[in-house]
Amino acid sequence: MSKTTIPTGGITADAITDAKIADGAVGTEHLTDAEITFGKLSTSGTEGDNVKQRVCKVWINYNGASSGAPARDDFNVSSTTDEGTGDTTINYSTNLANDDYAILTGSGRTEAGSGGHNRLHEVCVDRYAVGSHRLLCIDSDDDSAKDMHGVFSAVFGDS
Amino acid sequence: MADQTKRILYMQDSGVIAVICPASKETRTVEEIAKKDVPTGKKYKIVDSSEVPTDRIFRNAWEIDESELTDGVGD
Repeated sequence: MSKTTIPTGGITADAITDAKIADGAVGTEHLTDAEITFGKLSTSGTEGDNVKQRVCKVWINYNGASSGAPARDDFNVSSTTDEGTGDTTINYSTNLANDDYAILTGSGRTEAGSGGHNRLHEVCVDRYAVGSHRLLCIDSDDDSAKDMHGVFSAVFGDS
Repeated sequence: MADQTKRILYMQDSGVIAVICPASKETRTVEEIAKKDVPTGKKYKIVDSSEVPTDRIFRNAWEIDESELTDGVGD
């Protein structure tokens, strides 16, 4: 490939097009840290290329044994609604595109601290909509509602 | 950041109080969260978190008089 001297005054706007850049000429090392934003992720109709659909849209770790079920940390959550024993709704800051999404759930401790682990508790999805989902923590032994110190949930779907 | 020292109370159709806790990273105000996350048409009250009981043994028996829910109505 022949070389071209850059003219005095620099390169004019729009002078560099896709056609002027060789394949592989620009590596990821040239990208500035944090330059790629969520909005720049692919929404391709080809499933294998659609990066945006693979990104978690909502996640939360909350204390269901504290009044109000406060979050320890979260993403895309505006608030938590404590609706009763073991009964919490997670409200989203930004709605999803539809309610055909997937929800992952889990729970940890029945007591504060590192003890109280109990694998006989279930976290059930009671209802879900574009702007929230509701979780019920159930004691598998007697099907009663249970406040759990550690409840975890993540949502994957279209945004 | 939303004020996490506040709680939003409203009465559910079941007759049990719901307690809303703002999330720490939420940029809306507590008042804006109340409008958004309290069910449409439900009256609510914003209180300090210290006013909400911490003993949850009888959680499903918590009630509040409708006349105390004076801070707004859910959108």
